[in-house]
Amino acid sequence: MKVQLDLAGELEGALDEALEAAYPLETGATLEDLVASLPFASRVALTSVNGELVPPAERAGRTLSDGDEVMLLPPVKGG
Amino acid sequence: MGWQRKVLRVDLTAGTCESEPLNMQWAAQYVGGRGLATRYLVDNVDPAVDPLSPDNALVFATGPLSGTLVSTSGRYCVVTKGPLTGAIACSNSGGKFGAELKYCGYDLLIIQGRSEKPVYLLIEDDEVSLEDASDLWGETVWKTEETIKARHRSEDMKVASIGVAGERGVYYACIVNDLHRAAGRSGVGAVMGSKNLKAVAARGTRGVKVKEPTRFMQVVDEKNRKLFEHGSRRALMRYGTLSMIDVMQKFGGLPTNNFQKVQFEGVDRINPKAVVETNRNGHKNLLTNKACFGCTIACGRIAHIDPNHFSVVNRQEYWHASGGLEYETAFAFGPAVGVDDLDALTFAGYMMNEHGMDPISFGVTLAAAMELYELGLITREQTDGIDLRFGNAEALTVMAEKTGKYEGFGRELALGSKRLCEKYGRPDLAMVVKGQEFAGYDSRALQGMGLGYATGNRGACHLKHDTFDVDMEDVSGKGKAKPCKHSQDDIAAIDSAGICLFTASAWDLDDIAAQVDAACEGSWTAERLHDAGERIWNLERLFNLRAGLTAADDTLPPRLLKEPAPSGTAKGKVCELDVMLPEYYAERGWTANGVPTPDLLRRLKLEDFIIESPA
Repeated sequence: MKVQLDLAGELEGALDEALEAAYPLETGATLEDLVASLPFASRVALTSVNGELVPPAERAGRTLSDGDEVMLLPPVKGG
Repeated sequence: MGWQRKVLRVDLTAGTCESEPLNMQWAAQYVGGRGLATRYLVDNVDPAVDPLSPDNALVFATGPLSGTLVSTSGRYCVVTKGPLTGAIACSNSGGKFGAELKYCGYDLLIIQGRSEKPVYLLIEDDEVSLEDASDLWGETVWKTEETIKARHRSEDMKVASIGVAGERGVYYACIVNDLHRAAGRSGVGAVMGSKNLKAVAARGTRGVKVKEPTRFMQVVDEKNRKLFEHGSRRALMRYGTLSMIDVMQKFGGLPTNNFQKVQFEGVDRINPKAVVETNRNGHKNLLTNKACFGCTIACGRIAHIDPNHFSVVNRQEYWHASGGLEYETAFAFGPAVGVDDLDALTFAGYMMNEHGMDPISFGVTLAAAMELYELGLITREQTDGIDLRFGNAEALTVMAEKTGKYEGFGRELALGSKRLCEKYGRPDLAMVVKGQEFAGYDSRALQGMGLGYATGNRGACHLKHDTFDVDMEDVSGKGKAKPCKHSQDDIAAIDSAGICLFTASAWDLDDIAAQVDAACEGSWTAERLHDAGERIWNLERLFNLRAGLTAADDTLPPRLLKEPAPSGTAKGKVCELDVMLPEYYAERGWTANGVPTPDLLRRLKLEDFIIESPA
């Protein structure tokens, strides 16, 4: 299956555009599997699936489906 | 050790400058910087004082780590009673001025009274004098710094000064040092102007001694490595704080059109990608990044404006490189007012630095004026013929300059959002807490941020607490009180040590305590720093209560409490302050009316400030 990634901030451009638009995963993969597979996993702070926030503790229990839109954002501090 | 053990007290009314020993008992309890300055302010100023009267004091303070080898040690802060809020003001700045003040041999500079004529304070180690500034009155920050350096033939001299905005009492005037770093918030520049003090110029040749030099070097090296290797440091260096604009846009927490919306359609034209793109004239906005004194992060941005841009055509004096967009300036001149013209935003930033104004307060005040204009409550005749609609880049650039020069409709914008909206009959449109404007985070999407805004001792502020992590995990008020309180105390300690808050992306309080411990007398642990932070937070609160503020001031505008977020992750949600605030008061050990209890104050060694029979 493939999911669509949405990266922002320092994570933008970290993946090839085509890969970001259709990121391949094994059927039944969880959000935690997805994050762990990324070369910038340690910089992922926020995750949401189809617009719904998924806290880190719940990523392992969130199974992804083909076509899901997954937003990944880096940590935010100050400004 | 760490501290210079000396305070410079300047009485502008009497024209005297005298040094006195630093109260080391207070240093042990309040660390330095923000904390120590607050303790001295409380000792020298009646909280009920008119902020712009001679009876207010202006305290410049360095921390025990200021001027040392610790990363980001160029910080200083300015503490006073703020005219924008009527509450305690604590504005923190980078650049090089803080370290230079420390090298003059002083931890604190206390300025009292009012000079009969304009003066600037000249500090060259022990040589301290008040110099005539009549010829500088009415000049910009940039001209003032250049003139003072030339007059004393010292390029190494560091200058902190005000522009016309500070002289004329713009409620959010700031103090600018090193041309484009500023003690920015709450109107500390207006207090300086009310004292007829144009500038403080420092040139110091003394070092800073530390308790255990060898261990200090080892600890600093270890912590610098930790900071250097941290991903957040790399991101700040590469993108600056501006990268957060895309994050907030995606999240739906980017306040737009005076907080009527939480996402901005024009974000792609002002984001980190846009500032490095070459435009049709072959011009690229961003030139490089820049570090403050001793900083190994280097988040600062240096930019220049396209000479063909309408704001600077035939105005060669603005074609040079200067401070570029950071997240808060981009928010305040961009989404807040609906403008997506990159060079217009950059020009507005130049105006803030040149004339000495807080960009957040200016931008959010302009946003309120634009909403009043679109509602027909302010007319085009009043705005000097400028169409003050959201999205008009000319309105942004013209009004930034007019306000800085205190001209035309700029005099209305000089009031700040609260006073402006009250004057035009719509106080609900002022996006403020305690009179101070919000930063670029919408508290319907970032709920803990809303709690931090509401309880901020200097009014709405994004830099005195840190709930970003929990806010971006859950868009509700649940579980936000504890991290808000805890981070407020930690940050009060960091602000007092004399280093930049951005180190906290990599360092925890243990890392900072280790460096303080190697530099300063006594034994310093994270727990001791945290306790000092809690003491500082409560002392600030007590100052405000004595100034007449109450729990009723710990609130947010109705827009954030009643109008649901129209889009984004928090679509349909309002800020749940009613849930968070009672939990926060309980977490703090305050009464239901937000008053620190006698037991708490005794634990914090603040028994002298107990408010009897707190309701």
